[in-house]
Amino acid sequence: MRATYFIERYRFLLFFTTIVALVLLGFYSAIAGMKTDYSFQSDLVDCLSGTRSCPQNTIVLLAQVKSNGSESITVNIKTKRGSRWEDLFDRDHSVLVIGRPPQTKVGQVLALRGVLLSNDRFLLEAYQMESKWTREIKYLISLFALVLTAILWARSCRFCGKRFLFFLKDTDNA
Amino acid sequence: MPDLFAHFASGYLIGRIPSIRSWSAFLTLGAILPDLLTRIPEIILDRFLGIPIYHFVEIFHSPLCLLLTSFAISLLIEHRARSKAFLSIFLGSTIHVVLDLMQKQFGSAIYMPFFPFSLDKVQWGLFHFNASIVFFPLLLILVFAAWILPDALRKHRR
Repeated sequence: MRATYFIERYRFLLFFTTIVALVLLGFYSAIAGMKTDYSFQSDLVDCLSGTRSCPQNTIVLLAQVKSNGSESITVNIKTKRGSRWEDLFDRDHSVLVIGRPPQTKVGQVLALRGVLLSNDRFLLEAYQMESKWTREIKYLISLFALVLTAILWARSCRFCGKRFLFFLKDTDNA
Repeated sequence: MPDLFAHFASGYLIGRIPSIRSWSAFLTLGAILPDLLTRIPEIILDRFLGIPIYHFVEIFHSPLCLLLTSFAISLLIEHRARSKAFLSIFLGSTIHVVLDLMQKQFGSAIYMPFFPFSLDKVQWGLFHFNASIVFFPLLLILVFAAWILPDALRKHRR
């Protein structure tokens, strides 16, 4: 009973404290994650330019097909982050992918799993080529779920802006 | 991730159990909450605008952060329904995380269920991450039946 009273009395303070805690946890995750990403990307850039030995373990890379051969393909590896897709691939260093790569059109982006044998040779273990329509269908289906959730909420709750609270409606409509 | 409809269905269908039916809106919100807080900012900010937000928002697939989020959301619900709203939203979001952990990613695992205590990423690899699209028609029929049938039966009895 006391806890309920405490929560009701300090509702806004608790709300903002929780949000601040989540933001701090988000920053912690962002710093740790970006550090790992930066380290991997910088190792990859050094490997492709030949200034450092390449990682020997299995890695996953995003690559854009530059040209097709009969048993291999030549790709440019994604080494940067950003929104301009065409700027993200290392155009200065091409990598030959061997090990039954898919025969696909030039410009196609693939996810490649395998091992970098040297700075210009990649041994493919598996690849993934998600078609554009798969992603679009997923987005459409997801949008549909969002609409259904909004309808469900509109049928179950009403929002009072003055008190900044959701109140339950007649629960039979839920 | 399984698509959002699969997550919606997981929350909504459980929420149709008569004894917890009145909480189905909260359970359903919980079931889509991790993707609402992760994928939407990621798609808009990271993919389209190039703002590297991914690692910031990936915490919303960790149970501890979802516990805090469920608590924050439940503070926006009226007093008499708050505790059940909190439990329903947290249960829905936990089901979401469990479903996501069951996927097999193409590369390494992407979810950190033990965050902030550990940054280790985990996957159980039980099904392909696009498998939910195949089950969409079946889930759609089940959701449609669960949405329509109880009302239709009630009207029929009257």
